[in-house]
Amino acid sequence: MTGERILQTALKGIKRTADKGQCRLTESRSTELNVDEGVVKLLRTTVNSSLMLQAIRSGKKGTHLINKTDFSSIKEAVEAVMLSADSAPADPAHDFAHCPNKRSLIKGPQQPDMDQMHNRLTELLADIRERYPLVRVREATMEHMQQNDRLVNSSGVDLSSCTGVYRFTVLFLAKQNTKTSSFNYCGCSLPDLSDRLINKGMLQLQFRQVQDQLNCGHLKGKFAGDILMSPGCLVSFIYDYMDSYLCDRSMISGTSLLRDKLGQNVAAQDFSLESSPVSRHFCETEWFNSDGFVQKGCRLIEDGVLKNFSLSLYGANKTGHKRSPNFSPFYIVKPGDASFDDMVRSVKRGLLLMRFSGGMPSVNGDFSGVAKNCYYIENGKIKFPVTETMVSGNLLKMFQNIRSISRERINSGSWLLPWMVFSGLTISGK
Amino acid sequence: MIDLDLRHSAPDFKHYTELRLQENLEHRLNLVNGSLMFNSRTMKSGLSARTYINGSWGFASNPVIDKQTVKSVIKEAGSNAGYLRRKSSLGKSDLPSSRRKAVDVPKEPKKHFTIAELVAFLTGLDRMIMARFPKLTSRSLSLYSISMEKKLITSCGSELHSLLPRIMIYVDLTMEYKKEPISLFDLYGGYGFFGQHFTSPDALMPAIGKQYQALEQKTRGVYPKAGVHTCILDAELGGILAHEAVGHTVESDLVRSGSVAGDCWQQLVASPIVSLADFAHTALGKPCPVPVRIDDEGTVAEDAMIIENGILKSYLHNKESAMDFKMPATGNARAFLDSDEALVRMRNTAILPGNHKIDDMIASIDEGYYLIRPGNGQADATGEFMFAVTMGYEIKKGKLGRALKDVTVSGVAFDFLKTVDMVSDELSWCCGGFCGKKQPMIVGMGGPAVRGRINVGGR
Repeated sequence: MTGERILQTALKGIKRTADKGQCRLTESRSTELNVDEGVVKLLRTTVNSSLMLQAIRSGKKGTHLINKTDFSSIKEAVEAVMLSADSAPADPAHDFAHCPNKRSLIKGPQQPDMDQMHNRLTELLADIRERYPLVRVREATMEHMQQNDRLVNSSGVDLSSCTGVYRFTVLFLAKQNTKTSSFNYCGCSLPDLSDRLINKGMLQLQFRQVQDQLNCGHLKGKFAGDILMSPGCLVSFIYDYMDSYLCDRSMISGTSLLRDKLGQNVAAQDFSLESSPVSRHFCETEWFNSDGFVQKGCRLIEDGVLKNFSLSLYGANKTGHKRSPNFSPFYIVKPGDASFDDMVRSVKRGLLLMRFSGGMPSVNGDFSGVAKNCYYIENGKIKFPVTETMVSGNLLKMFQNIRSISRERINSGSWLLPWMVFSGLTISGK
Repeated sequence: MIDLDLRHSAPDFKHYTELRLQENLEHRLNLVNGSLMFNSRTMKSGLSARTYINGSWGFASNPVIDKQTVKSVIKEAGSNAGYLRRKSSLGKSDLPSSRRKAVDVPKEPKKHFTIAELVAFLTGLDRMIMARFPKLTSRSLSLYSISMEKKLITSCGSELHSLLPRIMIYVDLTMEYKKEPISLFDLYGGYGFFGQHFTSPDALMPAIGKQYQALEQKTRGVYPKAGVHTCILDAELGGILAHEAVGHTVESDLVRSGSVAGDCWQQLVASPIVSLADFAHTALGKPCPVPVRIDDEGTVAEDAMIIENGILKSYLHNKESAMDFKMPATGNARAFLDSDEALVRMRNTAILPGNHKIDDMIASIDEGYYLIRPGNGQADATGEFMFAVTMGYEIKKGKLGRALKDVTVSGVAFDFLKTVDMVSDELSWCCGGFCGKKQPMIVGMGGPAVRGRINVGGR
């Protein structure tokens, strides 16, 4: 069956007994090269399909997801989703987009260039061997993902996209005799393969650093210091911040400490954060969302003031706030005016933090964890790499205590972030 | 699962090949303060083939399950391996052959629980919690069930039919203290089906009552002092240590890429009272939470005694690494979805029990901490680890003191294990281990309580 026929068959089945229905068909083909033992060892080609059926009857909602698209599987899935909906308690907050809207998008390379994928990956391995002889690639993948995604619902929404993108990840460490460094990694999405992979993200800096990190020092005792945080490390703190304070779960459960702070200062004045899954900066996209809306950019925090939560339609109906223009994690932080060197010079005592291995923050935002791939900074100078060093603080306070933001930013293909200096975090050694 | 006899396809194998038919059935419910936020059921199944030619691997998968697709995934996997061999021939020899057959399909209980009954159970439990503990400011209850059914044949003649079911209920409770939310989660369930773990919401209430008491203590809790302290890691933390900080470093693919364990073969890496194993399906005469009898390469799963009396004795292998290391394959190759290739994964990893009583261990500490409930954990190729601890107590003069707020502990696995001087005499398994390494995977982790010196990230 064609995608059109599959979706219409499913939606027609749901509409027969449900008040509202929605169906989404995602068909993808992935071509993936994998590196192991320093060579390209595995080629994977996988075909995937996912048909999600959702139904609301008398305020009760059910979801059923299958990866089959033949007539009898769809028929069974329609029965299952109705059973699932009937089993749920009624909740008037459940809903789907209800403005008829038919639009489509085509973005990115639709076919993989296999030979070029192989060439770029083997070229990277050769570059590493030549320039960073102590670096060992633990694993690396180069994937081309082509995906056709279409969502229809009972209110006349019909949104579709055909997207193609290359995704590259590498996980590596350094090894010299019996010394082993911490691992580090880089992941990015690419619209094409026109450039050498070694030029992507901060890879060259990271490769240099893991070689340095074969010989780490230790810090003794604890102190309140500054953290100069890399963009790759920052993104994980932003994810935690969003989960803790601005997303559906913390807002609906009432645990968010920012639930009553819309329009108020919640972060440092020069901090502006938006999410933009449709940004021209990104080769990845989430053009429409699971509620059936075309997504738009969303200013979350502007000049330190909370402008929007990141709420789905259900989250908005549940909390009484506005539905967010999107609720996807495509984060952009406005650049500052500091150079990286200026930022290092500004740190009296602290760490250059490239990666953080931390526990899930507490509901009040307290966090602690191990500083990875990091360096000790003293009197404006990077002194030496350190290991077995912990950092603790509170997410809310941390974003209120931003000292500076770099003008340089790194684009991973789905986030665009600067370096940032946070002050007043607890740093402890052995 | 759709029934298809894979054995008819054996003549299509031109090289070393694994052919797998797999179905994962998952169910998720999430109730937040009485509102059902998620009510979803997912059924994914499909066919995959993986082929090896002189060191190059090809993999192909497709969700369509019929004879024609069997032929096409076998052909595509062979073609993918051939592409890589043409690009750069690694010239490796054939994989070791093993021919084994196993069926491990636990019988489903006669009583089948409908979605309506599962929702009713969870909402009933939520109402009881709300009625009994009115001071709670937020409740989140989740139910997650998964059953993973696999049929496998290999060109070596191995056959497997297995079913791995697990059911979990996660209970996350929050209270406010001085206008700050404090929470504590716990999980219930384990290997098997719903009715084998849960009879009525009432029956869960005593355990949730203890969780609530612990949360009350935690609201008045203190931050530990930052620094290195003598601590007791209770069974679940011992399990996460065994899995994250030791188990990953001895996975053969990590050893090959430079993990610290590669340099410690047959060396003392722990106190002589520490032994640590990755069990295949049975530990100390009892079934493990994640039984694996034949892995996804068709190898018979054997226990791997990783550390024996402090000495590093074994790595975890798939067929290829066992051949490269000239060691026996341990049956650690496992895949999560039909569209995933088998990776070197742990099964049931635990420190073996010793001969100390937990009360004596607490009494032996003048000043330290008893760390009980883990959150998440991560470890490095160096063995440096980090675990979140969501429940614990001070120990002062041999007695338990105030509860602790959330904290993170860290250390270097082999350094910590060398400081272990007491190991309790009971092995208990965490009921819900999940591991992430390219793909997710259900794992078992557990252990006794151990006493050692660890870095506590307090204030």
